[in-house]
Amino acid sequence: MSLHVDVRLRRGGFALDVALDAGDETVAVVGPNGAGKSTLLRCISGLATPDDGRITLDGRVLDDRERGIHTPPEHRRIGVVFQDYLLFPHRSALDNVAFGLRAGGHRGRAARRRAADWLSRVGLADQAALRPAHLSGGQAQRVALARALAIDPDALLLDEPLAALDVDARQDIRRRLRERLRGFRGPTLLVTHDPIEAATLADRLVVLERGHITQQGTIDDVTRRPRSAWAAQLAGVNLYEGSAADGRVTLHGGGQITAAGVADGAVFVAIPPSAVALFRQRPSGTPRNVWAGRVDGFDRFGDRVRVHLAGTPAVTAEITPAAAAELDLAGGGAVHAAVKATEVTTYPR
Amino acid sequence: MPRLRLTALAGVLIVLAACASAEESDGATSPQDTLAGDVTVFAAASLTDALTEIGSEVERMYAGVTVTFNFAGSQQLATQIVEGAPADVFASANLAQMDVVADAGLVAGHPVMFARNRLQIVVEPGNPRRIATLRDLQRDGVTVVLAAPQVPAGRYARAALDRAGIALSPVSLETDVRAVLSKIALGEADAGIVYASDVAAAGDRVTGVEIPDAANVVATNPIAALAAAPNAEAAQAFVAAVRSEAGRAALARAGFELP
Amino acid sequence: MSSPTRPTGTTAPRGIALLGVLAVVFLTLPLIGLASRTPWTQLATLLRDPVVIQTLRLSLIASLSALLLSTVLGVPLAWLLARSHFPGRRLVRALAVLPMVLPPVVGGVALLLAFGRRGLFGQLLFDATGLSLPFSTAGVIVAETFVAMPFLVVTVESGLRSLDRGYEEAAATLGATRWTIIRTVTLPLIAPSLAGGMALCWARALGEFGATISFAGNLPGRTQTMPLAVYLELESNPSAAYLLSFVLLAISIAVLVGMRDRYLGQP
Repeated sequence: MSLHVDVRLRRGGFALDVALDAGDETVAVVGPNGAGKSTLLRCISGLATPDDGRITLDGRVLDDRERGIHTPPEHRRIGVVFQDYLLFPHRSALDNVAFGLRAGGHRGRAARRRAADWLSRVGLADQAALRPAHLSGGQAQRVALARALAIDPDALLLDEPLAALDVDARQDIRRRLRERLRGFRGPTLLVTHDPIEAATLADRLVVLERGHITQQGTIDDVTRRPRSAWAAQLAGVNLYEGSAADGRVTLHGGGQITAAGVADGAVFVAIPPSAVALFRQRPSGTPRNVWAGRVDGFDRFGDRVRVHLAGTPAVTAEITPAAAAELDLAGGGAVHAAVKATEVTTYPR
Repeated sequence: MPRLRLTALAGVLIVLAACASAEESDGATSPQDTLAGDVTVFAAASLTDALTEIGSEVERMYAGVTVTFNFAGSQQLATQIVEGAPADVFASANLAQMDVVADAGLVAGHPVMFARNRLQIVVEPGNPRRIATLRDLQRDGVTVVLAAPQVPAGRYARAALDRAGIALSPVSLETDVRAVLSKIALGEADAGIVYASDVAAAGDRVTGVEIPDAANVVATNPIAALAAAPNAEAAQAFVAAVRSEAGRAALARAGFELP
Repeated sequence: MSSPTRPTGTTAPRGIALLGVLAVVFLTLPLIGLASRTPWTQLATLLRDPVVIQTLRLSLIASLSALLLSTVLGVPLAWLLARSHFPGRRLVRALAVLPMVLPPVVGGVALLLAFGRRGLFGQLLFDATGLSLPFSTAGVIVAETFVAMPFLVVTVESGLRSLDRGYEEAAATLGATRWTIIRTVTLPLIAPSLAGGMALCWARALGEFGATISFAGNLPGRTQTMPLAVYLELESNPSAAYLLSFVLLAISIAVLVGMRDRYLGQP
């Protein structure tokens, strides 16, 4: 099965312009808030009508604005797990799952039996009679997933499926969600702003910014070679744009970086924070890239400390707490950053 | 719901009406310049036009006096007075409600009968159904509205119909006599029975048909200054004005008969 | 009766408590006054009076019919006002709530001018069929509906407005058609507003006086409802009127409490 999306939609000052294909895989749509991720899902599910473009699913034309085709959501056979799950508060978990089955023409008893089946598949057989208000966040998410899958959809859309959960609960639920998504055959689109979620659940990443796709590819691709500030932040790397000549890159924002084996032309420069070393005294020796800066702030990142350095260019370094103490960061003053040329990744723009 | 013995009561009313002139007392007049302040008159709705005119006259005569009216159903007014409303004068549409006030010991002196109101058949302008007598109200297809037996106009209308030996099935028993009038004026019913003063007040929106004396019932309007009147002198002056020549003329113009 | 998720037991600021108590006193004192003058011993006799029974029956039939009519017409109107965008919607909303501010007696006269024997529409009806709404039980229902329906419309509209559209969208993605969604999602979710609106509407219809008297008149057994009977008894037999008022009050409280338990009992 495959989903082809090529839509344009304008709402006030916001414009969405997206072309996207998905086969039997899970594609994570990531991007900052307001990038149009949810709007894209609404277009695909039929809750919003694009101004222009086409959406086809497995050969079925769902939208074709040129031909005036718009299939309403109830005829799309696309399962949606909404951000807050939107379980019907007046119905039990069982009746929530049975809802789509009944709407699809299953008789009351048959619908309930199949719904009970789905609930036990997501491990909630005992919670069938409970109303959503009495379910935990993780349970509600599983009911929402069962409800979406019960209609035997041709595609599955998930909008921030873990955002409503406690941080503590996420890891376990994420793992189980991955297993369940693997069990679904068909295009799955997952909207998230959490890189870990994207990395664990998806096969492929689509970065959506200000209504446009700025990058797509495997997780590895995107985190290693981010093509926008947002993707770089997502990947946790320092990203610069510049022009390369003779192994040296002149950054557009100021400063120069020496990189091993860089081809001439417009390039992205990516430096992982862990590759940045900090010194009070200017180091002598091998590192090719050394520049001075001022400590602009620091925060804990797991068991490491991330230090933000203002300089040309600005850079984020990741060091151990012991190193941070030794450097006496709180004392302020000048600090030198050093990066080996072999640790710098460059790729054409 | 206890029903009153209507006919009997109506009979009593008529007798009382006949005695009304004998019962009159001297209208005491006060020096014009000593009168001042507000005088509050509680009066039956049917007296609205005539008493408003008389009120203006009083204010002209006594520069310091302001007349304030509370027009409503006599029963409502009687209840309000008995419950302690600060009224100076009570003008009722019937004796029964004046009695309620008098029995509570709230009347100063004796009530005075100052006007009589006869019943009339009220029909649409020009009398398209050609109704001439009470008996015509029985005709097929003539829709009749009366006032409810609980209100004086309804009681009198019943009495008149009983006397003429006519049984009617009205489509509605309105809660007050003005509602009867408006149903006719709007064309929703063909005929009703109201006071002559109501017909006069409605002008050309309706036409009145006289009911002969033999069948007619005459309502008597008593007026009295009240014992607890905040402005007793002005109250007396108002009562006197109602009974003056000018007052009588105003009442006559409003369709009342004079004792 | 508080839901477990809502914090309870907070102490009200003294000023609020004082004013609240004042409001209760203001609302209940007249009732206490009425009760003190009511001849309770006559209650049994009164309730056996065929005229009272007849009036009570008519009141219930008319007010429940008005409720039914208001629901059938008012819920769709509320839906249109809350959900659809059409030119002049604000005007329509203003018109829909007009009967709430119109003195009921004027409303009754307005109804006569529209549906009376000589009314804009009523005349056509009368000429064609010989039927006329005034002075009929149907007229009572029309008058009560006119006055009471806005209460339902306003309540249901605000219920619809505060409803998260997401639930209906979720239902659509599950394959439910618009009618199914309205029936199985929208209406159940606005049930509290709907029940509240219906209660208000019914209470207003039951107590309706002005529009009924001016549009439908007063005839025992056909158009005389309890409020009309009470009003007329005030003229001749006030203590019976007080007693009838309490009977009316007791019935409304019984029905409203019953409804509340049934529809608003769950959090």
